Amino acid sequence: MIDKEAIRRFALESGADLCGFGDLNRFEGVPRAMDPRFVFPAARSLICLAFRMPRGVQRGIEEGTQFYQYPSLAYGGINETYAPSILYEVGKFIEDQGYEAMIYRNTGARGSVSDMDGTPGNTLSPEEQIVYQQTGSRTAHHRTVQTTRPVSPEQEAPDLQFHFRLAAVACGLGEIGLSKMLLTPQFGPMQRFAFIFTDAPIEPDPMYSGKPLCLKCKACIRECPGHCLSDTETVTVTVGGKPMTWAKLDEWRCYIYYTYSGRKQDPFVPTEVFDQHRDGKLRIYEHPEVKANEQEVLNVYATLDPYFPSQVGYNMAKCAGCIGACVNMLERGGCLKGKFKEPFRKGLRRWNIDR
Amino acid sequence: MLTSQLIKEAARRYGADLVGIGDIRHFAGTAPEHDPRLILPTARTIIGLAMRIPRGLNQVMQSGTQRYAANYLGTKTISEELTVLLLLKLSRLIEDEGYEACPQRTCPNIRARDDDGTNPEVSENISLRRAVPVAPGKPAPDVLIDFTQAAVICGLGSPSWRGQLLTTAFGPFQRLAFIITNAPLEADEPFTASLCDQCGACAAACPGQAIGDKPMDVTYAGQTFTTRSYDRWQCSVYYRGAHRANPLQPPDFLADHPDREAIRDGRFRFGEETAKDIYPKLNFLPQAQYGYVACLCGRACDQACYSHLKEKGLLEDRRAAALQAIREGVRP
Repeated sequence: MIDKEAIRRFALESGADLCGFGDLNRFEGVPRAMDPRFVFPAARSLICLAFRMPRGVQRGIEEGTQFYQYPSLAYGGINETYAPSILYEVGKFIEDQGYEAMIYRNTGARGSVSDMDGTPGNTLSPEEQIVYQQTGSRTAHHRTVQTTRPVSPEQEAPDLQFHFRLAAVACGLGEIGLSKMLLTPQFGPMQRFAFIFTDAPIEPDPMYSGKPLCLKCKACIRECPGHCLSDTETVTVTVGGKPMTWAKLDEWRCYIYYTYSGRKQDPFVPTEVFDQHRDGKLRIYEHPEVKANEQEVLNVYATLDPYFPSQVGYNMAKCAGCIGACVNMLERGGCLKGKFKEPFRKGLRRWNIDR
Repeated sequence: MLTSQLIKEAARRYGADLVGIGDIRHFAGTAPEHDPRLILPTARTIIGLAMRIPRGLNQVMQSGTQRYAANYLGTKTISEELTVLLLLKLSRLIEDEGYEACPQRTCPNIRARDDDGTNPEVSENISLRRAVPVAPGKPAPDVLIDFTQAAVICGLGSPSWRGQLLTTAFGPFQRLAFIITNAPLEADEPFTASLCDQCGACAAACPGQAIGDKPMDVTYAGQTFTTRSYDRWQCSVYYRGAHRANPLQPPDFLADHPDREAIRDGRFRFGEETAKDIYPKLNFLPQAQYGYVACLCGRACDQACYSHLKEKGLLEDRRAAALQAIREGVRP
């Protein structure tokens, strides 16, 4: 029997911030196209590693003075460099003990269903790969894999994508908040994940059962510049018998606002550009009735591409509305209270450009 | 308890070759567009980190036998990977103690509002001159700290003639990163001497004559250093290999260009438009990821500088310290 605590200790010493062990049976009921049990059918255990985003990486966005460091360090830096380097080490540690370690880094839009809305077929995703031909731009998009099909009847089409945040829940690390972000007691919403599937039999950690991590304060809903989280509709899913409810998220709208967050929140786009295109390519910002979809994403990206496009392989986050709001509230009365000597935010709300 | 010694030991363990800690008050008078206090208003100190560029990578550029390795390993790997690991690991240590860590890696492809130049190392640069402040009293984003200024404040070294950092350990051959923090660490003294003796070897070596003779004084932490004008657009063209000595240049290079010989001799003066026009003709080697272009001038300025510093005995001999460290089982 492999020593579970030895793996955890090794992972943390190697540079992971959290390490949890999940029971793959906790995914019972997941749609087949997103069921992680098809990734490595011989797997008996799932290990989740969490990597914190330093709070200071968000500081520039919070102050409105620096936006580059967050996507390049807390997104690209963790996903592309930091997490893989530790996954590799922990994988070797497991394989040295005679078991297989299928290491799985953060990735998106390589599956048979859209990671935007779960529908089958070919849709854009805001993840890292650059697709020039569809957008004529340098900003980052890539697409789900339209032509994929199973290699045998009992398998699912490659590359199977599973829900990282729910998988982290299944490994006992935390709960999904109203914002749809995974919250942990240690870092609130500020972490990213990577996983290891292994055929080693490992006793799973219990599901998180501590004090509820989400305050249900709705700050994430209020502070999203795109109003992407619904104040009235929710989604509930059950993982390992634990129901989790979040506000219904308009993923396409979130996609748009994440990178080009509109007149009040995007300091890189001149006012006249918003004015010029208010009833055309940028109508999504001015007309609440316009439904966000892939075409609206392309309209926005093609128009705003010259104003600070992606150059680190990841789109530049301009909004940080939900995550900043959540950190602020959790420091005031939740799991992050007392963690830092000085608060993330002094006032209740952050800046809005007056225009 | 978080101490300067603990930070320095950890930084070396995580891959830094040089570490210095600067008092944030030394940035007084800095233009808002470059002032770290506007990134982290509660900042007290700044941690300066240098990672060396292995000398061997420069040797093969100087000897003319290899150019791709230096671009990939000496530039892209250090800036995009090793620096990221170092910054994230050190930030964890600081934030575990309740202080905030704002890591600052290079932003190679964006130019601050007041910067009309370019970064020769990357294929494309984006100007932020149309950005607007998010609120009155704040500068328009992104605030980008001046890495040479910050390194001087952290006591790591002094500016060269063209304004980049020189250290006694590696001369011009290191890459930098910083962490702005509100941790009240004991600060090092700023670097006050000038390692550059204004010999002019860098300017003489540049095949594109990108380093001018116009003196430009810069003042960091109260200390004035004399540098020279440095034309980044001119540099970018010869960095990519427009000069006659570039061994990758085909015989028909710019065959129909009326200024062919002046360009190849480094006499032609490039500006933003003319530089961008000629870039497509300078596609001699593949770019590395994130748009790092191969350096085909072989960093002639830095090679000349290094040789001069070494000849003058201004570079540390690190061998004795390294051997001692190996004996003691610690990182030098």
